[in-house]
Formats: sequence, C-alpha cells, structure tokens
Amino acid sequence: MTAIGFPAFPVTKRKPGRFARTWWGDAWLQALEDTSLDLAQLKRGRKFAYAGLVGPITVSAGRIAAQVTGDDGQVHHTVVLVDRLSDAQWRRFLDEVTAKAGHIAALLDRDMPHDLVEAASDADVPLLPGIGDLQPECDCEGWELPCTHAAALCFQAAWLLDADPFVLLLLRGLGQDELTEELRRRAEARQRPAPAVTSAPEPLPPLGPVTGPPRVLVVPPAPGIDPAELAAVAARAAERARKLLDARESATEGDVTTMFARVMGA
Amino acid sequence: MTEAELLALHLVARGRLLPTVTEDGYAAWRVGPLDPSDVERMRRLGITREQLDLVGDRLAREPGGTTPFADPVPHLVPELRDWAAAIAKEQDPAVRVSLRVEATEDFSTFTVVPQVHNMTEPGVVADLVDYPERLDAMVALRHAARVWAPLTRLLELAVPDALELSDEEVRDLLGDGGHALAAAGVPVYWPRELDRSAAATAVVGGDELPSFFDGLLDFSWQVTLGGEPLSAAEMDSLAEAHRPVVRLRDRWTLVEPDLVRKARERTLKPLTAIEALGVTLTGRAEVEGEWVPVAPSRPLELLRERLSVPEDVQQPAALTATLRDYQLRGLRWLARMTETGLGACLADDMGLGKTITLIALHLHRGAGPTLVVCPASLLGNWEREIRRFAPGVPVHRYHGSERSIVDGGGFVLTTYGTMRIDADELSTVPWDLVVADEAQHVKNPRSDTARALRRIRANARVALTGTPVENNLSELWAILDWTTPGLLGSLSEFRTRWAQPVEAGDPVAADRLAKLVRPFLLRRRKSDPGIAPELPPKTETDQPVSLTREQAGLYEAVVRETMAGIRETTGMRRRGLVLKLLTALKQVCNHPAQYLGETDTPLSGRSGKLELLDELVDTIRAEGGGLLVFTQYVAMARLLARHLGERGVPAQLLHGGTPVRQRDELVRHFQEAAEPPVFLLSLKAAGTGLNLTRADHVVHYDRWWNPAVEAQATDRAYRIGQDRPVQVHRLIAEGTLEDRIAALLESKKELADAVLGEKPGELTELTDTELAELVELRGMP
Repeated sequence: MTAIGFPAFPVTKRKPGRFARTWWGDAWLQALEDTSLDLAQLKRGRKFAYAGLVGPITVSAGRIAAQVTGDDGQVHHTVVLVDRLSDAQWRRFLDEVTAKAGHIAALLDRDMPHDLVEAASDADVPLLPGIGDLQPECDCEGWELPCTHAAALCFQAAWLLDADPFVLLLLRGLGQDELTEELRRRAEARQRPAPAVTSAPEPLPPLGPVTGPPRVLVVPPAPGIDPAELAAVAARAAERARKLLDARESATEGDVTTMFARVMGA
Repeated sequence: MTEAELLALHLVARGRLLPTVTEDGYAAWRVGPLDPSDVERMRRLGITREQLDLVGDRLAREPGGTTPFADPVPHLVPELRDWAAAIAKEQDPAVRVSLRVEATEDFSTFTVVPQVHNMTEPGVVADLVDYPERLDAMVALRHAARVWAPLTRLLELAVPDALELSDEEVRDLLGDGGHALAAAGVPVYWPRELDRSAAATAVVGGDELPSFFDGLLDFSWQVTLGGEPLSAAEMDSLAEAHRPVVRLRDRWTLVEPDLVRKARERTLKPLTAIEALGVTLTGRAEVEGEWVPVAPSRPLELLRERLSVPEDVQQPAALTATLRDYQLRGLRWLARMTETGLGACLADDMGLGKTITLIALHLHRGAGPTLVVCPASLLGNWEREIRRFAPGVPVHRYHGSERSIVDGGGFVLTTYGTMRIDADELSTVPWDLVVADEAQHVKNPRSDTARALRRIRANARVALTGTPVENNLSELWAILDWTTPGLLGSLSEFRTRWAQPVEAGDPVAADRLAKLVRPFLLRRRKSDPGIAPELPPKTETDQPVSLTREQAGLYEAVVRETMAGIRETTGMRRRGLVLKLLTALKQVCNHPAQYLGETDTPLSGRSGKLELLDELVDTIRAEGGGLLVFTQYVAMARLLARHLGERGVPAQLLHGGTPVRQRDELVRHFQEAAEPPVFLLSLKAAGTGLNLTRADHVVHYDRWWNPAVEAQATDRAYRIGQDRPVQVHRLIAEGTLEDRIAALLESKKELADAVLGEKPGELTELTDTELAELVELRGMP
C-alpha cells in the first residue's frame, strides 16, 4: 500500500486572505470548520500550522498522520482518518475520469476539475470530505474535537492538497501510480492495434533569422544559486549567439555594418 | 560552421538553455526546451543532443563568471542533481504535441489531429490516441488548449482523436491562433495538397521617378502565389473570399485572413520618392507597424544599381595635383551621388584630403558656383587649397563686414555664422553645390544655423566631416537629413524606427539601417588597409587662419607705435626695438591674452589660431589620435592648458622648468594612456630624448624662425617606432608677418636666408622699409 511522507513545513509567515490556495483546499477546510465544535480550537490549530509545530506528515489510504508539538512542549501522535472509497466507487470514479481526456490531463497538471468532482459526486463517489468526514485521533488529553493538534494537521493537509490533488485521491485509497496504471490499462484495451509511427509530413524549412526576444530562464532557487544571475548568464549567452549568427550572415557586409556592430557594444 | 553548431547557436539565441548537472556531478548547460521542429531537424541531419549541449555549455561560460554555471572551470555540484532534474521535467518535457490539419477532398471540412513527438527519440511521431505514454501528452495538449481555446473541445472527449474546425477557427489557426501556438512550441502542420505560398508584398509603383524631394509614388499590396504576382481580377476574387481555402489558378490555396484584408485594402499611403528609394535600399517597409518585404519598381531598381556603381570619371585636367587612388574613388562616388542630386556625406579621417577631393568634384562638375560653408578658422585653408590645386578658379570669401556676393562662378567661401545671418542673400544664387565642411557643427537640427543652411538650395549637397558620425545616430540623422532630406524620416520617426532598436542591440535593425545609409556615407580611416599604404609617412600643412578684430586692432597698434620708435633710433637700441616688435606681433597672432599678459580672462572667440586648434583637437580626439602642440612661449602653453581644461579636454604641459622625473612621467602617460591627453610643449623644453610616437598629429601653434628647429620638434612624433602617418599642422596668421615668413620659407630667395638664418637677430638688419613691408597687416576686411 502506498504511503507518502512529506517534509515538515517550516515556520510560515501568515498571509492575508484565504488559508488554502485552491478551491478543493478551501472545501477541505470547510469540512473541518463544519465538523468543529469549537472555533477557538480551530484558530489555535491554524496558528500551530503557521508556527511549524507539525512534524513530517505521512499520507496513506484513509489516513493522515504526524507528530505535533503542543503548547507544553510535549509531542503528540496525531492522526486524521478519512473514509476510503470502495472498489465499486473507484470503478465509477475511473469511469468518470476516462469520460473526458481533460480530466486526467488536469489532474496530472495538478488541477482538480470542478466537473470531475461533481460528476463523481453524482455517481455517489464523494471525493471531498463533508461534515463529520474528518475523524481526528490524538493522544493528547484534550477532549475537543478536533483538538488543536488535529486541527493544525488538517490545516497543513490543505496545503498538501493545494500542491497536489492526488493527495486527496491517495487519502481516498488510490495512489497516483496505481491510478495512472489503471488508466493506462483501460487506454490499452481501447488502443488501435498497431500504433502508427510516422515522421512529420512537412519538408524541413531552413533555419530562419532569430526573431523576437529570447526565452527568459526561470529556475527555482537552490543553495549557492541565484536564479536572477543564472537568467542573466543565459541571456548573455543568447546575445553572444545572436551576434555570432549575425556576423555569419553579414560577414561580407562592409564598413558601415561593422561600425554599427560596434555601436551595438561589441 | 557545422549544421550542429548552427542549430545550437540558433537555440541559444532563442534562449533555449537550461542548467543541468552532468553524470559525474558537474554544473553544466544543456540546450532546451526544444521544439518538435528542432528535434525533426536533429533527426534528419543526424545531430545528437550531446553535440548541441556542448556548444550551449561553451557559449554560456564566461571569464570571471561567479556562479558555478558561468565559471569556465567546471564546478562539482552533485547536491544540485534533484534541482536540475526538476527543472528538466518542468521545462523540457519528454513529449510535446503538434497539430496535424486534415481536410476532406473538397476542402469543405477541416479537422485537427493532435500528434505526439517523443523528444528523446527524434522522429517518433504518433497520433496522440495511439501513443503509449498518452497521459503525459494529455497534459501537453491541455497546455496547448490554454493558448488556443478551440482545443478545449478535444479535452471534453474521452478519446481526443480529432476535432472538427469551423471556417472561423481555420482562419484563426492560419493567423493569430497558429502564431500563438507556434510561439508556445506547438507547430501546426497543414495538408500538403494545399498551396500555402500565397503571400503579400508591398509594391512601389510608377514607371518614372518623380523629383526626389517632392514627388509621390503609388504604394500598394500585391499578393503573390509561388512568387508570381496575381492579376487585379484574381486579387479581387481573393478579396471576396469568405472561406480560408480559395481556388486560385486551379489550386486550392490557404489564405490567412490578413492576406484577404490586404487584397481588399490594397492601396497604401503613397511614398515620397525619397522614401521609395529608402525602402528600395533596405528591401523592407514599415507598414502598419510591421516590416514587410517590398518589391521596388523598375526605375528604383535601376537607381539602386546606379548608386552602387561609382561614376567612371577621371581626375579633372585642371587639377594641379594627382589624386591618390582612394581620393579618386571618393571623387567618383561623389560625382555619382551629386549627379543624381541625392547628396552625400564624405566622412574620411582628417588628413585624407577631403578638401582636394571636393575641389576635384567642383572641377569635374564644372557646372556652376559652389558654396562652401565652414568654421571661420578653416576659411584660410580652403582658399589656399583652391588656389593651389585649382589655379584660375575664382575664390571669393563671403565674410567680414563689407561682404558682397560676387557671382562669378568658382567657389564662394563663408562661415556658419555669416551664412546664418545672410541665408536669404545666399539663397538668391543658383548654386550648383553647397558644401558643409565640419558638418557636425549643424548637428542640432533646431538651431538657427541648421535651419538657415536648409534654406539654401542647390543641385546637390555635400557634407564633409572628420568625426565618426556613425557612432552618434542623431548626428548621423542631422547630417543626412540635410544632404538627402527625407531619407531617414523625421527625427522622431528615425528615433523610434532606427535609433532605439539599434541602440538596444537589434542586429536586424542595425543591418537594415546600414543598408539604407551605406550609399550616402563614405568613411575611410587612415588605418584602413587600403588607405594606409597610400599615405606619406609625414604630411605638413600650413593652416592659414584669420586674425580676430581684437587681434587686428592690437596688431596694427603695435606696428604703428613700434615702427615709429624704430624709425627714430639706430644701433643697439633699434635692434632691441625690432626684436620687441617681432615678439609682440607674434604674441598678438597667438592670442591677445598672451600679448596683454592676462592670465585669467576668457579666451574663446578672441584668436583665430585658438579657434582652429579647438577644431583640430575635437576631430583628433574623435578619431582617437594623439596630439602634440608646440609653442615657443611657456606663457602661451599655460593659457592653452587652462583653455583646454575648461573645455574638458585633458591636457598636460611640459616646459623648460619641468623636472626630469616629472618629464618622464608625462611622456610615459602620453605614450600609454588609452586616450592620450593633448600634450603641450614649449619648443625649448622639447630638447632631445623625448619619445612621443603615440602622437599622430603635431601642431606648431606659432612659427619658428628656423625650419630645422621646427623639424626637430616634429620628429618627436615622427621617428623610429612610429607606425602611423603623422600630420603636421602649422598655424599661420593670415596677412601678418607669419604669413610672409611662411612665403619666404617657400621661395628660396636670398632674403629668406638673410631673414631665416641661424639667428633671428639678422632681421634687425632690415631697412625700415623692408621691415615695414614684413610686418604690415594686409588683406584684412
């Protein structure tokens, strides 16, 4: 059975506006709020989530678990349980996914299509939790439901869902690999017998002049790597390449061209 | 360059570079993301990804690079492996999609079929629904749908095999939609049976060329099919097309909506003849903010050919000098450009003989009077050169308080200042040529001088300048807009169309501007391989300058008073007075401030010599040359140092009192500085042992009585180790004793020996009459 571990979220600055970034993250938190009996606990839980008091999170079918450090400095084992879908429900869900090519494309693009969730719901496949669907378990002594620790875990789980809707599917019982494998199997069953492998039909056009500005390199930061500086290196390389191409094309051009080349700051 | 290198350069130029970590853990660059067309090119030409990556990596590294990815020395960064892998996955996916357009036989219905390209196995293309790794391709299709919305309908299907398009969508796919997809790396392949060669060219009409500066020419769109122009009737039927596919010349042809619009709205704003010439030269016109190819009319084509071939003329018989080869080439070019009436700018380095070339042009044309407008300091030089190289041609100075126009053909010389005041008067003459010498003086087009100059009409205009105009685009505009009005458009048009893109480093714009300007601008440098061998190692030129009014008044007063004293005395006392007279006059010629012993009064505008020196300094500095200025007087050298300093020109001074160690330092600095300062030397200080070969220009600010001493000074610059030609400029105040001594030096009369013997003292033996004749001020207005 698949289980995925996520590294602990560091202390995060509180941002104005919604806690979750996506509509399904919002829906998840809505279920939490609807379930909660004490909004003050939720607020404390949210503070815990921002404060980085939740340890690495493990997500597996029907279960989110983490160690959460309490006010007293004590570490609690906290779990939130969610109902798994039955095999029949999964079959119906996969039917819905395969009904539109766009569904799997969206999921793989880390997007959860509204209409997929609705269609599944119509087919009695609840993807998003509703009231009472999030069942907290914690070894703390508090009696609130959910306790601060479980609430903090639920808030951070919303961030995980934001980043990847497959987390929700895993919670419901099927990991991404199993899901895509199943989709692939279904596709093959439908596949035309001999895949046609052809080459592109058009004749090869000559390499034209380079027009328009060059693509700008955007990379995430890394230790010792400044993304802006890397982009500048690539931009300068593009400039050098353009000059070389240009020099090649106008190698026979006369005096004035070379002078303009100098104007250009060679 | 190999095909692989070319493709790699192309990719890098398009910004397709990604950081990566090599198998053994080093920071490196790879090319990517690639487009399907790039992968197809790799497959057909047998290019491997490694070949491309090698070039990309080499291009990105730079000396002194600070990041591990820029340093030419490879850095070990195994810890970045995951980071690099994530970038590759995100930005350079293994599969890409393209769209294949299919049509029914009668082209009534179009469908688009998504295809998948495997970027790791060049050439593997399959319909998306047949592709084994369909899921990844589905994401790529989703991204394409964000760029071109109709594809969203494909995603609604369970099996996204094909999508039927409306005519409207086909049109969009041919136009904007297709361009957006291509930009996002999703190529569109159209059925091969469809002719896609329909294109629009802008066409300049007219079987004859109207007058350059006020005639208009028709300008319109012409649609071509396979390069062949369509008839008017065919274009009419195209204009009415309401489907993206049109039957043209028995073929089904795809036509972009833009093309149909061009066929419908065929007529464009007419071009002036000069604009038409401009688009002929560049091959492109800017229409509705877009650069489009232009087909010039036959007469324009012929004109372009004519401009590229210089007129086959020989040196005029009346010219009393032999033109050097490059001067003759310059004459032929000028003859061609002025014969067409288009005007030109000769921007050769100082010392290459622009003046003599222009005199030769005047003689060659032989048509009518030539007006030369120049800085006042150059009037004397023009007159002298015309008299010397074209004896018998009338030269008339239109300058000074009692000026009048003598319409006798030949040359009329005037200054920018006089021309500005008398532009109306000067416009009454039917000039054949108007020449603006040191034309950078009119670089501000809004100045009164520039406006006045524009009012004076002539058969052709020629600008002369020794400064490298091409380095300053607005100066280039100002000069060419006078010689050839309209060629470069208005100043604001020129800025947006040319100057800004060129200065921003757009190579295409720079190349086009070069094509446009090249026929009208001839610039040769002394260092050009074809020129240098023709130049003598040393050229000496007398530069006659006029006295200013202040100088002339002082000069005459000194002559009057001192001659009166001389006439009344004899013997030692007389000798003393004569020497005093000569010294005083030379000081007046140099600068009134020197004679008057002023040290902190303003110096500009008071001395003809100083004005010319400023001209020379500006030109030489623009050329990047080194300049020595010799004077006999430390006081004058100090005045010059102050004046240059005030003008922001770095200068250094060496005189008899300069300590030896400081001398060596000054010399070393002059020899080694990237931009050598103007080096002022008092002649006595120059002595021996100074090696100043960095100088390629020498100015003798005042005359030395002894040519041998002068020559020795000159040789500071011109000696072993000098590999550039040296130009010597001797400043001579016209109509003064300096002028007469120069004449004596030329003629080898006995008197010359008497006057110019070893000691200037011998001048003191002249009779009163001889002396009066020597010092008398002549020819002043």
